[in-house]
Amino acid sequence: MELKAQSKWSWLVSAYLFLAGLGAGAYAIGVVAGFSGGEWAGVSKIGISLGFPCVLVGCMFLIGDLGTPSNFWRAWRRPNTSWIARGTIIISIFMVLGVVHAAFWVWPFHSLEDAHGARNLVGVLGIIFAFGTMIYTGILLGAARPIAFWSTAMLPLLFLISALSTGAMAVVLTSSLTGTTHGGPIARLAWFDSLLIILEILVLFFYLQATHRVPESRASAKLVLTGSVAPLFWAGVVLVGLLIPLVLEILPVGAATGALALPASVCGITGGLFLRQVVVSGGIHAPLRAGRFEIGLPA
Amino acid sequence: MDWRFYTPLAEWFPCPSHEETNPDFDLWAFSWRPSFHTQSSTQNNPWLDEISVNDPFVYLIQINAETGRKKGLKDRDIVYVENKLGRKIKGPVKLVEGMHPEQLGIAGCHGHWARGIPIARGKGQFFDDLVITDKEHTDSLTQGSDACVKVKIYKATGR
Amino acid sequence: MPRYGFVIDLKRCYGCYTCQVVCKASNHTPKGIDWARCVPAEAGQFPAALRQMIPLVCMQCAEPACMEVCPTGATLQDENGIVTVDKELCMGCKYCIMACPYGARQTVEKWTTYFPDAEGDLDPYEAHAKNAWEQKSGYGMATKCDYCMDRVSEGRQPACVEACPAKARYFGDLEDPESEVSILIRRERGFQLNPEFGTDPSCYYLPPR
Repeated sequence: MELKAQSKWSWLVSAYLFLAGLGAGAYAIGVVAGFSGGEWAGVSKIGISLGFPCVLVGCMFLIGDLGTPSNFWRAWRRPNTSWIARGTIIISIFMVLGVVHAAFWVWPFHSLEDAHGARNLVGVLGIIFAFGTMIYTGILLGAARPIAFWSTAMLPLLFLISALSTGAMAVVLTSSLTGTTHGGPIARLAWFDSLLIILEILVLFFYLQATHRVPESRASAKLVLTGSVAPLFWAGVVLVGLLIPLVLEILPVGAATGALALPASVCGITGGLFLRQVVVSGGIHAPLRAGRFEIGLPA
Repeated sequence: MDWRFYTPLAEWFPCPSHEETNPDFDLWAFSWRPSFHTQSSTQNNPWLDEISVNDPFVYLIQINAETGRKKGLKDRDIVYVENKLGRKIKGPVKLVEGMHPEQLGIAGCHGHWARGIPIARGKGQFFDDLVITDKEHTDSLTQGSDACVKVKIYKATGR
Repeated sequence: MPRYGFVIDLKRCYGCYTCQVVCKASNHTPKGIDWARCVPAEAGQFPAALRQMIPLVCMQCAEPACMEVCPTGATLQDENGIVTVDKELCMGCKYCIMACPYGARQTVEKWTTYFPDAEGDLDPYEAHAKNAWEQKSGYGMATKCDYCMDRVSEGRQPACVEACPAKARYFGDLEDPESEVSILIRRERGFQLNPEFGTDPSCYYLPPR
């Protein structure tokens, strides 16, 4: 019996899941940094400003994947049952909040820059929808119940941690490239991200371990660990996405001066994209059983 | 003149494949007919080609799963099937349970090469390349060819 | 209200693919889309191995997973239990393809000719099929078997049921306890594929006894 992976969702969908998570993660970190105040102001500004553009670009990728892109605006119509519809609403609200929040620094709204109460309110709402965005990307895959590789509670958790981690690294990267903040906050953010990476490694391990239950998820695990998706997983996700950033971030020279922050963040961010692609391209439907006979879904 | 076969009542005579002593040639190759193809004419039909591509048996060389595993083969490996004269055909192998451990099945009348039938060209394997046509392998009574051939199978390792 | 359903007798089916090809001819589906499909299966080990063809159609589930996940509301179910796709509303997100346990939904991006080496326009038969397909459905959107509702509304049977040479396919009203399909399901212990997904498919299979 040949169990083949699904072939309809690929890099465009993975790019959307990745960017939506990254944008929401960066925003959430920016808001929390903003509440801490003081020296975190620079980090906060970067994080919040990254929210809307990244998610918007992600949505462009998603619309590019649609078979009939002209109908994309109908995507919110069935939130009572469809996770794509719910996600469309969550992401749209998040994008609006992201624009509003970032607008506080932009002309002609400079005068509102000191309206801390309003900014904090937007921030709280924004963080709720940011978490909604990060988590729903995993839940939406899970609603495809026949695909055991996706329909597990560990997937939203994995995507949440990956989103926060790539969001943190996006903030670090932007800071390195624009030279806006260095030293203290960035180094501490990199240290916090190394904790997230360790957590992500643990969750990824348990996620893969749980695939032993049914034949279709075992086939997915085999495909990802030793099959055609294995190079992307081991080189792209494990090495580039997790181990290299972790090592670079906990090395003393890296942690103190942030000099290694740039390569670490580039690696970690691309690793986040590869992780989504590994999960998406590893999805295998359950075999159909008719008495003693089992068949994989036809291609 | 070989009068051996001129018996008054029907008798079974082993064809030369049964007397093959070389242990390398351990599989009996035979051709079978997919139920939706007819002779050598339907392979160019696009709809039938569309079903044949997805059918796991039509365009692949079938051998018993246990035999295949013993030879280190797995599904869709590209293999050569060679008869004792060195004539060989190449194709992907499929390990199945519905095949005797000593048999090798190829869907007959496939393996077209003519450019004028682009849909059939290059799909399946041409079984008749393995059939040996000489006086020894032809029935002197009916001119029938011995359509079972002893072959060996091995992986095509990019040679 | 009738709930239309299929019964496929696995003992009678001998795997000739007629249903798949007739469906294609009747519904003019493009290359890469087959609304009715046959998948060969093997069970057991030599010398006790068995081969069986499993014909698949859209299960027109009573609790369709595809309808649940469709974000635009293009997928709806009519009063006869047939799950329909509105080609004007579908945006081609392919979520339904992921959610359907039976692989019943497919999509193509364009019409691919069966004769890529031929020069010039499509031959008249393929051009006719392409036009007929574009009336009924389109490209970039999800499509699926509709139990030949256009034929059924004229009092005929679905194309695959009529064409099956082994008379292995039956079509009828599952709600009517005296219909042929209901009697067969009761008498021959008809079963659904993968009922654990909870979609309650309308296509029952008779065991290859």
